[in-house]
Amino acid sequence: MSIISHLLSIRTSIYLTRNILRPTSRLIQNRFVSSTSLLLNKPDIKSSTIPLELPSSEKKKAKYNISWKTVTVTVLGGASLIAFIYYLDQRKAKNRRKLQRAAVGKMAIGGPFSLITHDKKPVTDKDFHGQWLLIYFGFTHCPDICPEELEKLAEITKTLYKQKNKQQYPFQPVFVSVDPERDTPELISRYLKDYSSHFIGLTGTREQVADMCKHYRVYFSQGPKVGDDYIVDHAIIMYLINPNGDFVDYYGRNKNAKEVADAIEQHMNTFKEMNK
Amino acid sequence: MSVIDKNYRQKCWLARDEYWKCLDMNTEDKEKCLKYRQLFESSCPATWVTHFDQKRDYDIFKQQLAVGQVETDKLKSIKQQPTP
Repeated sequence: MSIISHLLSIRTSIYLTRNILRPTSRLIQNRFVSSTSLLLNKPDIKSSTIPLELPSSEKKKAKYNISWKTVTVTVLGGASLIAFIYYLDQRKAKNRRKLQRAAVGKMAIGGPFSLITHDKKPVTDKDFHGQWLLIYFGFTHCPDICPEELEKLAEITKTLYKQKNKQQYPFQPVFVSVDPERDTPELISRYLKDYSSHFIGLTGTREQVADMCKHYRVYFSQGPKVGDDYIVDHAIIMYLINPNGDFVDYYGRNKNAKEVADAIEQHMNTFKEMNK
Repeated sequence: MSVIDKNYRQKCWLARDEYWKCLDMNTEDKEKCLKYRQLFESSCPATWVTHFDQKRDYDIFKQQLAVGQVETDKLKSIKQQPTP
C-alpha cells in the first residue's frame, strides 16, 4: 500500500506542475517583461504595473491546460497505473502464501530406502521420483486396522485415478511391510490383490525395513508370541511424497478417504503452480 | 485359508460381531454367549481373539469415561493393589 501512496504523490505532483505551476511561471515571465520595458523607457502595450489578474489571453491558455481532456487522461492514466501496482502486489502475496505452504512440508521426514516389490523387483526411493507416493506402513497378519486403512487407500486411489488425465505426475499407492520376517513378496502380492491392482507392496530384510522406518519416524514392534503368531504394534499413518522425493504431508486415522484425496489434489496443484 | 485371504478375515469379523451383539444384548454376560464365543474363537486366530477382547474392553471403558460413569469398584481395587 505504501507503493500506491507513493505513486499517488508522484501523480499529484506531475499534475500540479503541468496544470497549475506552468501558467503561474508564465505569469511571472510577463511581469519580468513589463518591468524591463519600463526601465528601457519603451512604451509598453501591456500596462507597466503588475497585473493583478491574468489577462484574457493568459486566462485562455491556463484553461486549455486544465481542460476536461487532460484531466480525464491524467485520471485514467493514474487509475490504470494504480490497478497495475495492485495486481503486482496481489501476485506477490499469493506467491508468498504458496511458499509458506510448501515450507511446512520440509520436516525432517523421509529419506532413502532400498526394498523389493511384491513382484520381487529391487527398488530404491529414486525409482519413484516423478510420481506422487502415498505410503502406508502395515503388515499382512493385521486384525482390523490395516484392512481398514488399505480399503481407504484403495478408495483414495480410485478417486485420484478419475482425474488421471489432468495430473502432471502419476499417483502411486505404496504398502510397506513392518513384518518382513513373515511378509514375503508372494504373501504381500496375495494380500494386496484383494484391495487394489494398483498397489505396490514393499518388503525386504529386517535391516532394510528398519532403516526406512527410522527415516520415516515410523514406530513398529513385534508383540507377544502365541505359538508362531504375533501382532505387530505400529504407527498408523500414510505419508505423501512428491515427485522430487520430498515428504509433503501425513494423514492419520482421523482423515477419511475423501479428505485425503482432496488434500492430495491440492498438493498436486500447488506443486504444478510452483514448478511452472 | 489364512488371514491373508479376504474371505477368512470377513468370516472372522462376522463371528466377532455376532459375539459382540450377544454381549450387548446380555450386558456383557459371557455365560449367555458361550455358543457365539466358541464360533468366534474357531473363526479367528488366537492373537486376534485376544486383540479383539482388549479392543472391546477399551471401547467400553472409553464409552463409560465419556458418559462419566467409570466403575468405582474397579478403581477401588486398583487403589487397594500394592504398588509394584
